[in-house]
Amino acid sequence: MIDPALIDHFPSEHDGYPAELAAEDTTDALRDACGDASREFPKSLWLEPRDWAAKARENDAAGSWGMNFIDRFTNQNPTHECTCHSLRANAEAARNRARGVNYGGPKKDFRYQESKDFGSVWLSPLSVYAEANPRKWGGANVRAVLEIAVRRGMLPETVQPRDYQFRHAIVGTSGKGGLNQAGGPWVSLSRFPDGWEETARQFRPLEVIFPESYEQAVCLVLHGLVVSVGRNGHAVPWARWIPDQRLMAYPDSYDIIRYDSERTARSAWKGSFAIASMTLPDDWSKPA
Amino acid sequence: MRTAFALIVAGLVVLALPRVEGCRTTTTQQIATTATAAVYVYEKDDHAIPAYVTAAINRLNRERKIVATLLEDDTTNGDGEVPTQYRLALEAARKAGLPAVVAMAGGQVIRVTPAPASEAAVMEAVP
Repeated sequence: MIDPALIDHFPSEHDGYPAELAAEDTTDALRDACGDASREFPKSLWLEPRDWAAKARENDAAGSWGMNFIDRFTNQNPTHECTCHSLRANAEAARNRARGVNYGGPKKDFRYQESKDFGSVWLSPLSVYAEANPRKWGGANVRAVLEIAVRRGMLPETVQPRDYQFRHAIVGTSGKGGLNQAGGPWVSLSRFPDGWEETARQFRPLEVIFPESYEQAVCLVLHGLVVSVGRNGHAVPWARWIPDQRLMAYPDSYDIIRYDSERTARSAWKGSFAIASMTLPDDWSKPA
Repeated sequence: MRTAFALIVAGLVVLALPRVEGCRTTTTQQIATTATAAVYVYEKDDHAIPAYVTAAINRLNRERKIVATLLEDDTTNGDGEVPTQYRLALEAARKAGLPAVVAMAGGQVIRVTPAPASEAAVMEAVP
């Protein structure tokens, strides 16, 4: 049984997703922001609700949830970077799904050896947030961070599971960070390393799906995609659906797995997105 | 004697051909028969990735120690091109019809298996 304290946990004050920014995150606005990367919900991914529980059990057995493709936590505390931490979970899961490795989900203060063995690349939420909100505090909406990621990509973090010899990287967050995330001082866009665009464009979302109903959002999660949503002052990446309690599980950007109830999820799917594919390298051992 | 010799030569030629299921191939050179990489190629608008495919690809990575991956038909690298590592596999998969598992060795396609229907079938598609 899941601890009720972990369900529908919302910050007392927004941590990067205030109501005025949330109001701009309509499905149409997100679709416009993504341009050519925008995709309709594919009919091939539709599942009738009566089949959801069976599909969930199948995913449990196969390790095919989006959560399985996420190999680390990030920690934004006390910044306002939440939409970018949700974005990075979505992007990394899409990339790791393509790489075909089930990590089993993030664990606090733990680094998978497989992250090194199978070439996981950790992307910097700050590399997007620094452009989305140059003032540092106040947050950024989903539309803005998605537009930036699709247009010019994300930079890798300075902390990686393997030494990839990236020519350009910055810290992952101006917040706490952790074992698997570089925390450090704020980096403004003007202080990014020269030529950073060359590396960032190797890590771009290529196809982004926008669900048009709660049911479509659940279907995306059931097919192993991560659905990023913003609600109640905080943005999170749904990565698993739990049938008996009808909960959405997500790796929160505070080193912990939390859950949204169906009631919250039904109010939150608008302005959500799922990255279906990322740019992939010519050689997995040399990602950029 | 001459007939036996001809049969042996013919057998060697057949063994040298890549095993391709479900599509034609023009590759005729001698190539390895043990895969070093495998990719499941799919088009998301037409097919969901079955959970058993995800499970099998993970097993191929971990148990067989090969580079086993999933490729959406429209995927590019950062320059907007088909990633070099997938060019031949994508071409072979498209010829066979998507979805398909393409097994590779030494940069060559050695087997293409359209639409494997179980986890075991995915594993068997990669020699």
